[in-house]
Amino acid sequence: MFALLMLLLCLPLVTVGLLLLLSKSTSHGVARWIALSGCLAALAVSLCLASGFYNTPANSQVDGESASAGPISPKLEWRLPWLEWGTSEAPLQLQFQFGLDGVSVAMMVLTALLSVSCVLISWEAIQKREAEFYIALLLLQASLFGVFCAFDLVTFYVFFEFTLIPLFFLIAIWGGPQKRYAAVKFFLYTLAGSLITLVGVVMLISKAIAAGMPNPCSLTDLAFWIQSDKLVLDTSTQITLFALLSAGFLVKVPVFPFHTWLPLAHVEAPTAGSVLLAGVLLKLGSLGFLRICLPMLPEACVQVGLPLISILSLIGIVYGSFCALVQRDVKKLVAYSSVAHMGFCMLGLFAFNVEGLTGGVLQMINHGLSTGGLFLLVGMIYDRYHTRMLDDLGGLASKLPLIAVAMVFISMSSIGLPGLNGFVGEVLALAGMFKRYPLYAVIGATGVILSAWYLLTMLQHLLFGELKEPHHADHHNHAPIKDLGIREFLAIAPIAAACLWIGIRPQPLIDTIKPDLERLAAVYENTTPPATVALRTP
Amino acid sequence: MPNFTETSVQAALGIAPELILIATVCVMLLVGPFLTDSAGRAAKGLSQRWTILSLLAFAAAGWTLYSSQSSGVIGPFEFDGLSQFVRILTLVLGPVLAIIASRQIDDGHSAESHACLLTILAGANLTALASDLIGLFLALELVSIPTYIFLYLPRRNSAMQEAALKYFLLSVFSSALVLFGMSWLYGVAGSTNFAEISSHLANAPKGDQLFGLLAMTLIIAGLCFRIAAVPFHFYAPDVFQGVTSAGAAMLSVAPKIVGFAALVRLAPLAMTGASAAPLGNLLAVTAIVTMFLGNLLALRQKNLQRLLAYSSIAHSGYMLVGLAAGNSGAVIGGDSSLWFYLATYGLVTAGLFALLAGVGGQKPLERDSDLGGLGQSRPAAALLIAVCLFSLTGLPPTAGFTGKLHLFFASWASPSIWGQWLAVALAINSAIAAYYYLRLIAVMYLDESAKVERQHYPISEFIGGVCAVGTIALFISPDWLWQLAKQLP
Repeated sequence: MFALLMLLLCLPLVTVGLLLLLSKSTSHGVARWIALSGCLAALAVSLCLASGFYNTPANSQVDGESASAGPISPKLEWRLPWLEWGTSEAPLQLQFQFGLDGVSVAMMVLTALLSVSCVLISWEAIQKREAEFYIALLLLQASLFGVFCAFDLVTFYVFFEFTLIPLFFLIAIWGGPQKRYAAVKFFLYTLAGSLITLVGVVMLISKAIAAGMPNPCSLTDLAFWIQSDKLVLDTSTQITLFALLSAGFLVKVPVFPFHTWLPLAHVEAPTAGSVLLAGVLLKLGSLGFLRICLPMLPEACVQVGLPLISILSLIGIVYGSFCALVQRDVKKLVAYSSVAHMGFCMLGLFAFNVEGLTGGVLQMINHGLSTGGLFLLVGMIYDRYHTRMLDDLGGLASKLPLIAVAMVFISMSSIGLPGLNGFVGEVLALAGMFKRYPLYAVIGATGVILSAWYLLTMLQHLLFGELKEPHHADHHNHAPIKDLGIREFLAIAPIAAACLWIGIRPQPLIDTIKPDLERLAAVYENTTPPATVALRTP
Repeated sequence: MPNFTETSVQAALGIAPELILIATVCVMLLVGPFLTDSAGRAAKGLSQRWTILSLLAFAAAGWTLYSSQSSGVIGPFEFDGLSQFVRILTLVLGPVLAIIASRQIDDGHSAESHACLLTILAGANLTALASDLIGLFLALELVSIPTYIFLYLPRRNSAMQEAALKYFLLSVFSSALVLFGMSWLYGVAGSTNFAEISSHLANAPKGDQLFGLLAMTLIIAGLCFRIAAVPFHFYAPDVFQGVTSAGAAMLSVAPKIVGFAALVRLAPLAMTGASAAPLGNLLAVTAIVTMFLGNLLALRQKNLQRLLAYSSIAHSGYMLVGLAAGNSGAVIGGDSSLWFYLATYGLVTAGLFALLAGVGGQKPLERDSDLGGLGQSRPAAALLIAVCLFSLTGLPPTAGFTGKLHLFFASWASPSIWGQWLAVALAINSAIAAYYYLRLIAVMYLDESAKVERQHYPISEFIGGVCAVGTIALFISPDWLWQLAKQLP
């Protein structure tokens, strides 16, 4: 299994190497075939990894003394030594620790799936500096795989931070008119956030070193030591740590009011960049909360995180929805809908119970599928008309019926129509929150209605009514506008199929992620909400 | 007690690597004049031959160092973790600097130029080896004097002459400060030996400690000039802008090694009793001010080497964080993290200058816009430059990140009241610095090409590439370097 995991991590890099070697010498269009085969191979490997993971029996030798009883205990884990800080009397080792749990496997398959769609959607759209584009895309893929299987603070941080570099280039070189500003803003904003997180990481590791932990970076060991009171962090320390650590994650998710970089970055990014940004990169923020803040800092999470983040998420849901409602640029609309949908995800995570956590993680996957799909479809329309403005377009259903069908389908999944994936995640997240604070869940539930409002309005303008196309569409010299091609079908179909499958049979996916989340929820079993907040609940 | 002759032989054997370098210098200086005609011109390619000789000298010195057994104090030299680390560092970075210099000097002056470079590096080693004030001062001057010549020799234009003169005048002034401080220290302690000064000051009456503090302040001021720390940084931007990229590369690496070696040796002497707190405050404040000033002023620079001068100032600030953090912090000693960072910085910055010198060729890159379009015209070189810039930013997966991580840990766990503020300042400054490094990368990849035909120096680009790849390799397996740095006091 370790070989398989390493293969998955290295496959994008090998593909990058091939691109560097071959793209110069051969004719135009070779790069995309290399990239496509690399991504397909990565998808195949990730599926093998998932099936291997599924067939691995759960850790049998669980006893109270080992870290595998702690809140974070991946089914499989591997440690590679990195730095030896201690002396022979007091060993202290920093490691690259890789592991696989249900969440990481699910997210890795999602990443691999979306990457294939990204290559397919960029097939014709990217003409300029083709090889470099796919190199950046594959580097992004590699670092995303890395984040999901990282089980120590340093490895996590390293991959988390590295995602900035390829995405910066994706936006800055192949982006829209304001690409430079958008790329620099995205880079510096998220970097500033994650540097504060780095200070938090340093503080947490320093505390662990002071407590005498031999592997102060390992998330599994840290969570176990904290759970078993071998590493005691008092409440004020926890709150400081929470504030520092969450800075980078809040920006990445993004939680209101740290979302301002997101619409800009989405609008300017090329379609493939938007798909991966919305589909996977935003999840790094919520994954940071899931992997670091929730298991390590339970008191701070309950006392500060719960009221703060839930309220900010609620504001994000409502505010993001209303912002989406008034956008005339479809891509910006979808970008604001991301702010709202990630609010659900955070709301679920900060319910701290199995339902909420499961819902939050499902929402991470669902949002990746549905928003990724929406960005793909918007990209397809943009490729045809070179505009995304609702004012310039209308009634496209009569001209592009298949795209319209796909768009309606994915929008329904995003709205949370029962029978599709969005419904499962949202219901679980809200149910979890309802157990904590019914009021928050009620306010959050308005987001479902609001999302129906803005997405249906968008569909109505874009697809139905009288056909309206921009003037230059016809008498430009290019070919007549065609409906969904086979390449585009291959890009969108797997996503739609996944949406349907999760909607109808969510149980296998839930079974995959649930054991990890149950252990995490056990940390919070006996927590009561702080009195000040409890007063606000009915 | 061993007799004088025996000690001298032991000491000479101990510093054999440095003696090899100095012997090579003598050969260069003696043979050089016979290879140039009366007008100061020499056969084409002489410079490259001197470079090869320098490389051979470095290799021989390295081999001698590897097989050397010396340890402890022998005569005026102290063979410990610090001197070992510095010697390895200079012998690794020396070849990079020599290769950059090989194409930056006309053949007629090449013998002197290479001889100066070797002397500077030998002087850097001797600074780290010194165990008393006299030896330290002599080693410092062994670095300074050849530096003036090294900077002056290529004199292509008046700016370059002005830069060399400016460096000369201020450097002499700083040497005087150091010497003045040293004489105070001698006056207080009655000895030039570090160990004796330290033991005297530890038990001295309060008045003596106060004079020790004054002496140390003067010495720190003088050494801050070498590492280009605020408020003694004023020369750096002008000098960097004026000199060749070989000169700038040397200036951003060698004086830092020398300055920090001297600081690490001297600062603990006076940091006892009542003087510890004020000196700690002084170092911490200097670190914070240096970081902020260097980074903020770098934001608006358009000249490439001037920008890198400010970046070099800022990096001095980061390294001072390690010094200010002190060694009593639990696991990660301040000095160890400082030297680890200095090693990664030296590798990256020498690599960056090598790449810039290689890409620039005969027409040196001056403004940042000269990098425009490099991402398309020279993709490999641009990628390597980007790796170096990301490493200077401190982003993974480069050694710059590992270096900063150690500084963070050292300062966070430091018992000093400044410790955690230093870590926070470091984080803020990393974010500020990201802006201007990123701007250079954006220029390379987003702007249109400057359309200037340049002749490249492949060998310089190659060694720069080795350094850039080295920072990634050092990120993946940093342990051996850390084990070396951990040996430091």
